[in-house]
Amino acid sequence: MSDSKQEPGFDVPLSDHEYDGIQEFNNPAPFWWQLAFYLSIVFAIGYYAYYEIGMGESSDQRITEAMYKIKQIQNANKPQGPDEKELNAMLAQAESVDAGKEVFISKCAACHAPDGGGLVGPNLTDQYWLHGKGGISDIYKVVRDGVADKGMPPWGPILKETELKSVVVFVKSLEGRKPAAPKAPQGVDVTQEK
Amino acid sequence: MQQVERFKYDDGIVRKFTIATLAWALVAFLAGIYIAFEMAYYKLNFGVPYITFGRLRPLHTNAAVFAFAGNAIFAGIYYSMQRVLKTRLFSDKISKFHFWGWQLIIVSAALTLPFGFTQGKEYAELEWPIDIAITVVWVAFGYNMIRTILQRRVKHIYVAVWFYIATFVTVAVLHVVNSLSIPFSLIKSYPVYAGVSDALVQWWYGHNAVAFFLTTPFLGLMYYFIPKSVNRPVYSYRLSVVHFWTLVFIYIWAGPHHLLNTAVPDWAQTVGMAFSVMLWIPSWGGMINGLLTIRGAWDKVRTEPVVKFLAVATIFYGMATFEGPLLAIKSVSEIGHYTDWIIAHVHSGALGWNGFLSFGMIYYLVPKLWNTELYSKRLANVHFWVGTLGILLYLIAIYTAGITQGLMLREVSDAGRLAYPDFVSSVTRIIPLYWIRGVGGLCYLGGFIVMLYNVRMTVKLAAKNPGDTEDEAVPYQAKESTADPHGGFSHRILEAAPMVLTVLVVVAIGTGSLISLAPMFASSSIVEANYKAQMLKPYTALELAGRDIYVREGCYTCHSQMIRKTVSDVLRFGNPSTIEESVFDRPFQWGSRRIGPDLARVGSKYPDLWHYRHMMNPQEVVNGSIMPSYGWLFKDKIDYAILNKKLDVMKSLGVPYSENDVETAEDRARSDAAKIAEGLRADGAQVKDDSEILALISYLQRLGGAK
Ligand code: HEC
Ligand code: HEC
Repeated sequence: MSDSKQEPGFDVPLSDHEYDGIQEFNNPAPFWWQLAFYLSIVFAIGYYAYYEIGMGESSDQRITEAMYKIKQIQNANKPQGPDEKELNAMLAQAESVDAGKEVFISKCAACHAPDGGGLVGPNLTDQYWLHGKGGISDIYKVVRDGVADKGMPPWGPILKETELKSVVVFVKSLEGRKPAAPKAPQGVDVTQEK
Repeated sequence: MQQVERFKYDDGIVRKFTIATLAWALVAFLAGIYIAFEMAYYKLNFGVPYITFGRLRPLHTNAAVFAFAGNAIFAGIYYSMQRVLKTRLFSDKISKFHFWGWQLIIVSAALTLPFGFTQGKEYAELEWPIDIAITVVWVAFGYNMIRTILQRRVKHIYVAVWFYIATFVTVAVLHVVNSLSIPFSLIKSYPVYAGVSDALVQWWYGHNAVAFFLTTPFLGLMYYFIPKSVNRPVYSYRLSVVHFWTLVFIYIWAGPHHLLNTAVPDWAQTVGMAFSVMLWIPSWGGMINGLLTIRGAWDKVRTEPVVKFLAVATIFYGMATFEGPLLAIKSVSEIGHYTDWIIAHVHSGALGWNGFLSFGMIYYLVPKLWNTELYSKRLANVHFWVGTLGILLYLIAIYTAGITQGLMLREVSDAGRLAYPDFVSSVTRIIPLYWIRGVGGLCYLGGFIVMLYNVRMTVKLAAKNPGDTEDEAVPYQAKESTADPHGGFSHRILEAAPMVLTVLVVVAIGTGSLISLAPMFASSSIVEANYKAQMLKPYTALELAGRDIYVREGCYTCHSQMIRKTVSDVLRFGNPSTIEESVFDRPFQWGSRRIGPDLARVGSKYPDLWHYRHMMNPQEVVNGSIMPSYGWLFKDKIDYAILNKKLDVMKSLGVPYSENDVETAEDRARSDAAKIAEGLRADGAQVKDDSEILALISYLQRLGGAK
């Protein structure tokens, strides 16, 4: 037991501290602990001052700048519009059409039915079209850009360029098929227009 | 000199709380394991409303926090407090009322949550009648404690008791402020806060519920059970003074770290992050004091299961409180927030710190309370190792899952596009890890069942009617000098004046609360002006009915409605959410976890028929989805009759509805629903004009376009 008048040393129980048999030392907190505490306070004050009083960017500035940069990168990497020749050439290749079918089943079938007969979205096998006249470039555009607010997602930002092309080719290949449960026609009959 | 007094401790109440702890732990663990497997294998939802993930998850969290941990802290507080204060509890009657009241609250929670009666605010889901009951029982507990402290036979109150006082005071304030709501029926209500205010109040509550329900009381228990079980003095008294006050003062500010990069004003986020960083070291003060107390008795960690559990619990506490500040850094939060990383963080705290500390405590208590030896130390060691294995499996799987998904969702390709645009691909990637997590949970449960058996046998072999422990003490002389014989500023004065200490705790937590919450309320008029300028309209009656279904089903347990100001969020979900957009949201539904995509701008992304089919059978529409199917929404009917009342309550809360809106709510909702139904039927779907799905679709289609 230490002399109660004296500053107690290391691992010496405090004289009048006893609770249900529990005694207390009064050892100093580890040095690194104290140092880290002061550093964290300095950091916190500095951090707050930088962002709320100083020249730290606001969150709005930050996201606006970041998105501006991303948009530039996207523009620089934009797919080169529809190349009708290339698409038609792909249409003649069974592998391209098959690859397109795979994309279609996983990404489009939920809305257009696996055989393209239409469900949430329109029937893609008939001669009725809402957007364009069913030409391969028309299909490319609507698939790439989607139809905002009508529930047709833009696939340009989602699919890889080869996937995009092959699924377009696949849709074109559906022309004239007889799906199991075709959805009622939507849009204009493009065969009547000429 | 006064006479030595003899008295008995109330051990009966501690036995009751101990048994309740064990019983509710089983419920909490089983519910947790079930929902873990629902993630791995969605078919376990079985299309049964009461056990779908969205309704069962709140049951799991409430059972773990308030039933398991709650009963454990009451057991431990009542046991240790009597002994360090050398007195019996103030009132046996109040103790009993506290016990039965709390169990009744838990039972009513278990009976309401699966039926969808929820306020839709995390860890505060319970509806208003239960909230009132909680307040009453909690105050009874606090009164009992304060009066016990006042009748103590030792002059100074021990550090454990400081922590108990902080627990009582702060939880009372948090609970009352966060639960304020206006009922519109016998069991349902709308909160008085909306949107960003609701978010700030909720996370001020949520964060500090972790602090003052799962941390401070357990630190108090640690300060009693560690020195008792290793039979060594506490390492440092002055460290306990410093870390107590810094912890209590700093914790309360850190709530907004749950809302980083969101629409919450920058200054609040900055404050939340700054204080979170400062919180790291005070937290570690507790860990250091606990572990260094064991120093010199490390052999006991090998031989004594009690010490094993307590030591490992304290290490988990240290890990979790290091990780917390780390996750509060904005750029780390950008990856971790909304992912399983947070779930892992919580479980290193819950399973490791709260769970193991409770187990260690119970292994210590049971032989003492029943006046006997533990039935088997070997089985307790088995429990320890199987439980530790369970935690490790759980944590390894879920950290990996969280970080994997977080990185996948934010990866942007060289072309400036999302690398994984399909949200669901990030979900299917981590399914195998969900299986491993489930197995980890099973191990943890297995260890716990060994404990149940061990406790059962211990009690069975003990003498019947164990009775109360007797003790003796000399009452202290109030006039004795309180000055510290060691000189300097003396915290001893406060320890001899518990009411003053209590008031100081109120000041400490009150300061942070007021400063961090008040400006939000002051600025609510600015928000109002903004939404008027943007001509945002409140929800139509049908949309509101749909929103209430959304809350009831707990869609927020899987979906956020808050697009953060981060590149990947904006690329994936659209422009960042604004404060104004959730100004009519009572409760706010920003969510905390994205098991599915954000829904803040899902309105008009898909046609009605898509939602119809998706809600009926998500997997048919989205390959690999793990969202439950909601078949009952197609059969159950919209409660049109209550809509006038609902709008009326909203109007009284300040939502700009006209008298006419309120009076015609039901009729308008009916005609809006008929319109949607007609459209669906034209597309070949079968649906009746009063089917709940119509209200839900109408709500979903409005999200993101409030004009
Ligand atoms: C979420 C449902 C949905 C998905 C998924 C979807 N679509 Fe669509 N799609 C629609 C809807 C709805 C329309 C009709 C838009 C309108 O009304 O203008 C549409 C229209 C189209 C059209 C134009 C039809 C016309 O008549 O002009 C094409 C082509 C098309 N989709 C192709 C695709 C392809 C290819 C995919 C997969 C890569 C796909 N869609 C995925 C819903 C969907
Ligand atoms: C178990 C977690 C879970 C619950 C609970 C849940 N969802 Fe989902 N939800 C998902 C997942 C995963 C996806 C992504 C795959 C898909 O589209 O099905 C999703 C997707 C969605 C989508 C499509 C979002 C988009 O942009 O493509 C909507 C809408 C939706 N959920 C609505 C709801 C509603 C409404 C509820 C409550 C009635 C709910 N969800 C409950 C997991 C959940």
